[in-house]
Amino acid sequence: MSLKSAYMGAWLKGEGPESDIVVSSRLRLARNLEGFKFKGRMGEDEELLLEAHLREKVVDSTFGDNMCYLSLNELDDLDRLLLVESHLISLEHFNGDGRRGVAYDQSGSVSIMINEEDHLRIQVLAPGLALREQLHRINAIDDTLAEQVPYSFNTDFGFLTTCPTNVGTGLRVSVMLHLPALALSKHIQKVFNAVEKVNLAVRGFFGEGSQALGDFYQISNQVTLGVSQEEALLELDKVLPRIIEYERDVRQALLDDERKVLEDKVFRAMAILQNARSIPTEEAMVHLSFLRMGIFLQMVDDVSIDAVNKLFLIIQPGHLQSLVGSELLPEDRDVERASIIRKELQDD
Amino acid sequence: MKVCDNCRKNVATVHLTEIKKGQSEEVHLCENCARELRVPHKPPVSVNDLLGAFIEKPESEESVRQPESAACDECGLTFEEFRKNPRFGCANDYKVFGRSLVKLLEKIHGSSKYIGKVPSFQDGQPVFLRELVALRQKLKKAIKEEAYEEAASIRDRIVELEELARTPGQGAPDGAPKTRTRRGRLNDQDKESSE
Repeated sequence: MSLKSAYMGAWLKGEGPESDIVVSSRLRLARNLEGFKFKGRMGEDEELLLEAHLREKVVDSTFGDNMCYLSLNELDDLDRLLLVESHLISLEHFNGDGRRGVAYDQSGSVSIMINEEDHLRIQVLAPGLALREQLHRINAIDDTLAEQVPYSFNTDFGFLTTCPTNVGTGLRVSVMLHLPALALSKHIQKVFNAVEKVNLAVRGFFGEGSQALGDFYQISNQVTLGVSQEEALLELDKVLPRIIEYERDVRQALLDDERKVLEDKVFRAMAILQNARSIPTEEAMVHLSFLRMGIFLQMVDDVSIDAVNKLFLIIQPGHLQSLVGSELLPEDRDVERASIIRKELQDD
Repeated sequence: MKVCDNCRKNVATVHLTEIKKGQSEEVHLCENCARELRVPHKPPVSVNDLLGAFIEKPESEESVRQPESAACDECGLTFEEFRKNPRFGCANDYKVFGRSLVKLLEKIHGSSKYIGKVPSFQDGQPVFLRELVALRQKLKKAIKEEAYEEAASIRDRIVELEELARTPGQGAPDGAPKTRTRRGRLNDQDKESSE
């Protein structure tokens, strides 16, 4: 199985509602099967049996276009890294142990992790802000699976999960936002404080346990018990439009009051990206972030948003080494990264 | 700005409406008193690694029935182990850990009662289980709309159904945690003082 299909997720196309600020909408459901112990307490035989059983159900399904399955135990580190960078598996699944795998569709918009922290982690991913549509989609998958494999469920606590923070609906909704103006003007902390007050969490580029990179932040719900799926979405509905407006207002204020400063940031970023001969991931993300904002503010018109979005993904270590076709030392990666960015921005 | 009804010193930030014999009565508490009086509180943090700090030892009266060393007979997990690493070993733990678990869930989620979709595989279960889940949603709505009389009657029906669910032979899980219903109290948690 080639990993090329994981290469460019449809979620990173830069489309969808509010796509100047909202990069992607991701929803996931945590589910466990009745009759099996949870992940940490299963023996290897049980894990194997469960993986085979679920794999068959998932691959034969029509949840996505041409679902394929990869057993993580048969992949090397580089291939597993590609899956994390494409947001098809979590960091926990990447670092995990035991028999485990992932099924995903051609466009990378549906992925189902097997034997992650829970037996099943169903995920849907879409560009822009599309929570209701994606909730409908993930529920259709969930309901179909529920008919084939009995879930652990009771009326007191809902869907039972390995971690008490997920029990109930098992639903985590994460919206990835690009907030460079709020970060630049140091207003971002205010957003974090407001978000945390209403029981939402702020996470980094790769979700739980990851760092913010290039001014990308994920906002997600925390409470899963005592609130319905719809109520969890309403919590986000209350906050997201305000953050989006806030970022747009600050972008406009910077344009009005400090246009030269802002232009300088954007064009310096572009100059570095077009000319650097060696560049680490973090530095490239910072400059790409300014460039992305510059495109949406119509300061830059000779680079497409598609090219920038694509670069966010292919400069990551896994994708970069996969493109080059061999494993590289970090300093060699920096040289290759600079070369790929120069080429991509030139061709565009 | 209201002063705490209990200590009469601090500013009240937790506001409750109690319903007793059809009469509603407002209670205003400061955070310290609310904590001491064990008013359920919304989660302050929820980072997984901090979970351990949330999990209290079982209360002494319960310890007799639920010693920390008691292990789940299906996966072998003890409450002590769960406290160190808050991950369940199997579905049965949700029954075995009883009241201590309910308290933990209230701390994390501000609630220990499921609201949401009931999967179709539950169709074999008694119909009232589906009704029970739906009533919890209605109760929440009634409280939000301050329709306290309606809320009180919904709550009574919930209590009835929950008791029925625990009656053997009605599909209730054996040894499921006893629901400690706060009769005569509807909580309106963490409402900011509007005064």
